[in-house]
Amino acid sequence: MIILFVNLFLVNLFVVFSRRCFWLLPRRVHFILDSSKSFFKGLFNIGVGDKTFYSLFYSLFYFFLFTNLFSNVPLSVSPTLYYYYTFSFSFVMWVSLIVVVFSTQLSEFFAHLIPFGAPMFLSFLLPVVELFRQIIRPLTLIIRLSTNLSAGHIMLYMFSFFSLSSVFLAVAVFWLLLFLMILEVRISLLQAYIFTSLSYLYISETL
Amino acid sequence: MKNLTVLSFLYLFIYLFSLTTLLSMSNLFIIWIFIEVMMFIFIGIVFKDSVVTSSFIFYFVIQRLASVIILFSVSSVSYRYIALYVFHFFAMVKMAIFPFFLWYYNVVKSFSSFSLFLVLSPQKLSILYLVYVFNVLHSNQLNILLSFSLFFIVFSMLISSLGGLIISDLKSVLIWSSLVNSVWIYLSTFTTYTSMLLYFVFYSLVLYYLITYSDWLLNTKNNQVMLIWLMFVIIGLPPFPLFFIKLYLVVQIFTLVSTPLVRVVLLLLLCFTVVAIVIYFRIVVSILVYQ
Repeated sequence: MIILFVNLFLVNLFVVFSRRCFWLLPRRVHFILDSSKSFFKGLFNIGVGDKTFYSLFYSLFYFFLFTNLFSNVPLSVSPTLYYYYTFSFSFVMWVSLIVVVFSTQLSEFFAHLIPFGAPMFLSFLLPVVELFRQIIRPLTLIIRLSTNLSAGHIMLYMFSFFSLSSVFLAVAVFWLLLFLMILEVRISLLQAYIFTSLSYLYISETL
Repeated sequence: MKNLTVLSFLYLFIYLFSLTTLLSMSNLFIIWIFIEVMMFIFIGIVFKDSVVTSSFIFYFVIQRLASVIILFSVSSVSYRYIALYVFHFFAMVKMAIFPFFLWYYNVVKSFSSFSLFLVLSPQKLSILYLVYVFNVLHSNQLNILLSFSLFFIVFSMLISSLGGLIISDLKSVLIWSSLVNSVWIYLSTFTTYTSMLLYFVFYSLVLYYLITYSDWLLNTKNNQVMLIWLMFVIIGLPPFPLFFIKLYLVVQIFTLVSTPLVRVVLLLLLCFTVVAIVIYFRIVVSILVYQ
């Protein structure tokens, strides 16, 4: 919980005080902000044409990035490891998406349940499959994020116990743990990207 | 629901997210902040959606004045005993309980269907949770607080059940019945978290069906039958689940405080609830007779 609040506070402080209107000359903060923006743009290709949800996905990506990275600190717990926490993000996003879609473009939504060019005998089965795909979207988002993160953490935790059994094994386990740690950092970077890009994909696909 | 745009997704996301964050907090100040965030986002939704701006401004000013005084009372409750009562008093202003109910009908009736649902359900849930956390934090003075609020609660039940008798269209019935139900909601803050959310979630589900489909609900005969069933559900007569939730609430209040005064007052409350049934039955009868 403390990590979460520190993370939120840092991100907000960074975003608020690095606005150009607070400064006469460009500072080091602006370099960081600009590079983070260009990094984001290079990853997602969002902010060019569609500026509507740019700020949402920008903040969501960096929030998940830092929260996932904080989970790699030894003996710490990150909220994104738990289904409860990530479910609150994805479920709320899904509910608001469904409400907006149902109230603005209901007939288009149901028309998309049968893809263009599908054969007639499949059109009895395809809407059910497509509806199921729509419904399990928040679940797939959270399972992909939390399970990938926690699986690596559990592996780290298990292998750290092998080092207690013998001294000779501990040397080998150390290098394995180091390798796993590097892998974990990369996974936590990747999962933040995957969560944000998939939620962007879902929203741009349905809206 | 017709006036929502694609941009409303952003508003709805922040609105629901602050609601879920609020429901997982236990600090009164943070809950207060998230109530204000929800209010700001509510402006964004309603201004896309609203018909009459002046009534919304009226709603905004009342809610904001009450929440400022709630903030003062929360911050001074540790060294001013009267702040306990001030808090409940202005929570009643936000929930439109008896002495402060006159603004409610005139303001809310001009809202469109989706913003009407937001006013009646999630905006009340935030205040409800604030009052609940306040009651839990001051559970040693709960007897006094309950006896204080029961006076207003009973009068509110009487006034709102009588006031509902002068109107006959569906939307006004929903607004007056929300006044009746907000009394039960306010009473449920003195009980446990589970029963509080049970009553609220069930009520808001029925309300959602009634509000969103109230435009086309009266068209065909099937829809009229559907409306009558929904009316029976929201009345809370014995075979329907809302009755048992209300019974559970009353039993819990009885076990919590069992002074003779509270018993008499709760009996009066139940009597006035029977009066409130007439509001719904007028709609049901008008459908059955004039179809």
